[in-house]
Amino acid sequence: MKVNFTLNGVPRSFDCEAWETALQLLRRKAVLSVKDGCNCEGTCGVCAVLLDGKLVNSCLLLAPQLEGRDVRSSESLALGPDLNVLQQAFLETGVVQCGYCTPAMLLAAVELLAAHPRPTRAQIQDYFSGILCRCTGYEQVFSAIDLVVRRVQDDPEALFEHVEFREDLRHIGKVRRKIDAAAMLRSDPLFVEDMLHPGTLHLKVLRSPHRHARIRSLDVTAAGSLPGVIFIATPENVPDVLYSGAGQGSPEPSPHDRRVINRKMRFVGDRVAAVAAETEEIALQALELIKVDYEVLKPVCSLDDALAGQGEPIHQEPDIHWCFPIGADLSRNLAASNRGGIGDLEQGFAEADVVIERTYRTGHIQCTPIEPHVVHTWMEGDRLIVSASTQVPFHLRRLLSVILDIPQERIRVIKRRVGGGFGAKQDMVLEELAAFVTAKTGRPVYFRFTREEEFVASRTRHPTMITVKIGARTDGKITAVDMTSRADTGAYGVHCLTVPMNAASKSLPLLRCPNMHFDIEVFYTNNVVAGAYQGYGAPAGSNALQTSIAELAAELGMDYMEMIRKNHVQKGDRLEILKILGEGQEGIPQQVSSCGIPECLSAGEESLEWEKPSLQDAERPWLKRGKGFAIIQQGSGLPGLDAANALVKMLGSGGFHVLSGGADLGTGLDTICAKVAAEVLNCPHESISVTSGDTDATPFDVGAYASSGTYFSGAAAMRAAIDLKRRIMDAAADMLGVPDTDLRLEYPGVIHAADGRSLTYAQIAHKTQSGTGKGQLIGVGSFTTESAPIPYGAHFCEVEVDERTGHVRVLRYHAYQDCGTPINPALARGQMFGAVLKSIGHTLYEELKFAADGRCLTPGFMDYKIPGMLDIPDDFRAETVLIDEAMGAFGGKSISEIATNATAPAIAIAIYQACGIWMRDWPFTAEKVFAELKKNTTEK
Amino acid sequence: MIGEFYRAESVEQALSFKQQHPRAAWLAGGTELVSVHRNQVEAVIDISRLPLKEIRETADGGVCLGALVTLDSLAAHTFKDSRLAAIASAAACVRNRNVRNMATVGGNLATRKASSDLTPVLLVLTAEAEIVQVDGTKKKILLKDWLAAGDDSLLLSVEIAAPADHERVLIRSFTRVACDLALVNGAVRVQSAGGKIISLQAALGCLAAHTELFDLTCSVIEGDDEIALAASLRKELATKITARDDHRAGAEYRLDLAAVLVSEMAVAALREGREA
Repeated sequence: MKVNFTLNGVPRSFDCEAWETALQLLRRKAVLSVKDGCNCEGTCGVCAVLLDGKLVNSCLLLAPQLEGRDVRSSESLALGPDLNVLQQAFLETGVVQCGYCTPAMLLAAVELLAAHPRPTRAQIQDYFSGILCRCTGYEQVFSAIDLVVRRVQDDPEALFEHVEFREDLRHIGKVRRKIDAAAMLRSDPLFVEDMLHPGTLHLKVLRSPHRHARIRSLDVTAAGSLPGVIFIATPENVPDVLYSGAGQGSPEPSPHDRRVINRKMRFVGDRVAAVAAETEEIALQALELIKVDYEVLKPVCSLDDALAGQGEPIHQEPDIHWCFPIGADLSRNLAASNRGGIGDLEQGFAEADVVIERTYRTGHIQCTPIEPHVVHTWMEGDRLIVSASTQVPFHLRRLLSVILDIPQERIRVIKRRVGGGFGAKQDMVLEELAAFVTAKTGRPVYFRFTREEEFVASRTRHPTMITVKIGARTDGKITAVDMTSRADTGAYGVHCLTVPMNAASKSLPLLRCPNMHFDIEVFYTNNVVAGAYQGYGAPAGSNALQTSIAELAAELGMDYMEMIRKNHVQKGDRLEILKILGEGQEGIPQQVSSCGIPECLSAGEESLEWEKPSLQDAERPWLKRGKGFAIIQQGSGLPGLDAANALVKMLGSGGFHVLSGGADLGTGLDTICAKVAAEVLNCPHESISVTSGDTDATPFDVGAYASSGTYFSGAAAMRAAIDLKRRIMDAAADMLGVPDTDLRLEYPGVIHAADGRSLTYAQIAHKTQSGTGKGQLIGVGSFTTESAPIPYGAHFCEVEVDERTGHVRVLRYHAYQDCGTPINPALARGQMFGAVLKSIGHTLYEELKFAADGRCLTPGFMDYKIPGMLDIPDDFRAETVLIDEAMGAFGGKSISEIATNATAPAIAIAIYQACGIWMRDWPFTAEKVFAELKKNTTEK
Repeated sequence: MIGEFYRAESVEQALSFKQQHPRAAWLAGGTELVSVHRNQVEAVIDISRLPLKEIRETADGGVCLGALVTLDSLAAHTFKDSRLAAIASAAACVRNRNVRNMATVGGNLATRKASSDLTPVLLVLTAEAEIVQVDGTKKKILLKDWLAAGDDSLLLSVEIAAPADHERVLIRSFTRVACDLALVNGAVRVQSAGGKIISLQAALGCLAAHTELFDLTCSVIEGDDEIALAASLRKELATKITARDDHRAGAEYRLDLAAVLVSEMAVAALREGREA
């Protein structure tokens, strides 16, 4: 049928189907700003358009309903190549991260400002309430709206007030535009789904309905004969290669324990078969025609089941492979184990006046990038091209090469803009299946997870059970810590050792304690697959250790702050424990090169008035308030394992192009590379462009994980810029006929000789590229290291617990972090806000739940709740403290992952302060808090 | 899957489509139908253009809500009788603005879901539904009866009489996050005199398959002791309903929440009454 409506001011007429949603129609007609993050559930809002001026979800509208209406998408906002005042404000205030929800946010702002030219905070929250963003934490939206209001209402020249660092530097520590944000704000086609080839096949997967089963028979005859079905992948025709999908440095500490499609099903959602068809509808229809006969096996349903030795062995392949021993024992479903320590634990506990032992548990939580996993593959001649939303383009190429038996030189992986990664896209989760079908058929293939698949077939955080035994003297000095971790890796062992190891390696080194021990066992179960998630295991370890210290302080009758100050790590300490906390191999002990914990503690102590008890509500005595905090650390990449490389090319105009192997997930890594290059080359930030994460165009980099971006990829870009600067000075010396020691480089890229002559970058570029000079000047930078600076921080919060319902509200959250030099302050704060809000969700309500038969009960945002803008703390602060750090690009440490580590313990401690209960099983849902309060009352 | 789409410009045309295509579903805002039922429905009749978008004060001080009034319009409406403001508050419980901009009064009720935010308040206000049957017969029936019937008639409006002078109406909702289906929601209609509650009627959603209406005891409401009242109501509710137990919340917890919400509303109503 025909539908006629006005689209972005232009009357349009389109054919559409009765069943088609407005979202589908608009995307079909290349309105690519509308995205689908929830499979038309209507819960994520990234498909929003203005319908007659009102923000609505286009996924909830049928296309024929648009008849006669006025529809505006965010494509209507840009003024040619320029940004409008709203987009400009978003750019300057650092609101844009991955950019996937940005178009919808812009439209929310349009509707808001039309109705309320000077909106209140509550009005802003209301108008943005329907849009989920997993990156930003929403807080900077207030700054953007404030800026646009001031510019429109008061002063077109109004400036964004912001904190800057490092007066000695021009770009580093200053707020500069995010290099990829303008394109996101213009809604340019940037994501995998925006660039599909004509004639692309759609791939859909039949998934196991059983937790644990063997396929007796699989009949695809009827499905295969359906017109439009091109190929069906089954256990019988996929490559007979065992691999691990973990995107880790090779050799990876994860077992090679799966095939592209296995003969044995190990969780509800495991791949049974995959259909490639001309349309999505045909592929789905074909799935229903596949007949499968299963032999159902006894499952291992939980970590407790695994610990009790229940169920059958999940992996029995004779050819399962480990690159090196990781302590597995398949007969008891043990996927990995490790233990070790420093000092003498027995003696340490003997020295203690008080010893407590507590167990803390975490459940399944999901990364939920708003852009689900997605890949597009095709052949160019004999080369396989993979357009991916990935954190690890180079690892992905290596893994595909092994599985498909295609040499790496015949595979190109192009990382597109990534609509949120958070660790889930550190793994090869769907790419190998699409690549296999393309290699088999020669046809382009598109494979995009539904939201439900994202929940059941992507990656979750490992459920853990961590027992901490900790002792201290009456003066508060901790004498011994024994941490015992048990974790559930699910059906396959991606990151099975490293994630739980991080629970210890990113928590124990926070303490100056001579006697510390850890014991880790990770089990296979018939649950969804756990893997990498922002923070790795550190949030669980941090929660267990920090809460146990607070519990110990309570036992000792000591102020928690005093206890932390007595025991925390300090600059100059040598962290011997890291030697035994490596990634499956011996680690490297580190000297603490800088440590901002004292500064962060002081900042939080002052801003949250730690020494003053919370004000209580006399009118409503059931509302109890309390404060809490936690100190935190992470790493800055993996010394001895990670590697980054970059090139910087001088262009004919005198500008520069950085080619970085790093993978920007919306985090601002490309901007960091641009800033360090501009700083080294003493030129405008605008003179730098960046290409990253393309295995053909850029040099090798391990990718974006383990907080390596700023330190590794940034340092590689810096070294490349330094190398290029040397070459430029050499060329200038040649051109001027003077020694380069007589030259000085001044902003904006002008080289002056002692005799008064000078050359601009453009002149040097012209000379070197005109056939008579040295040829194009290209700098090369590589970065590997044995040492990496550790970021530190302290997060403070105040909560209000409703004792009648158990509901916990975070009133204030103040995060202070030491990231050395904040390379880009606005983006650094955005990373912190996002990580904290995500962690508030994890701490208080996010939880994947499963039925007894293994079915996921929370397969969408309707059931699995993540925080929206109405859920942010009333007083939400994220600040960096400047700490002098010698290592890294201009002293920059990592910023993001660490920010996930404090929230759970800080909130747990605040709940205890508020109403005297210790929450040890997260999420601390209202129902669980209520039950604990009831138990506490009964016990009293 | 939806195979046919009929766009109605008038009530008569909508009914004519329905007569020709009895299995077609009414499509108003679409937030429920397109989201949840798109694959189960063969045809839809788009009624979003019908002239049913007015909020009209009635001569007796009540109000008449057109079935196609959006929840956002309703949430923003200022009622002459402030005691009817609970209706606007109930609409505002749909915190997701994008959804509020689309969802309608009729749609929110017609889903007949226990999580409907409007149903509790309209039930305690003894709202009447103006409906037209497929054969063209128009009639007014109690909303409660229309919800129970679950038939194919088209809801045109909902009429609410003004509460009596000594009555107060309040709503509450408990959710995990702001934009969420309630774990428990509800409304109360409280009659008070001389600083004491005479009767307490509550409609509670999300406890069971449908929103349930209860007449509750109010013997302990001598003072403003919400906690004591909640404890008393908790016992009473347990005798009157078997709460649902699902992945969102357990049955016992739901009853606890319901008791807390009702006691909070009752005490607030009592205070309002005193101040009035």
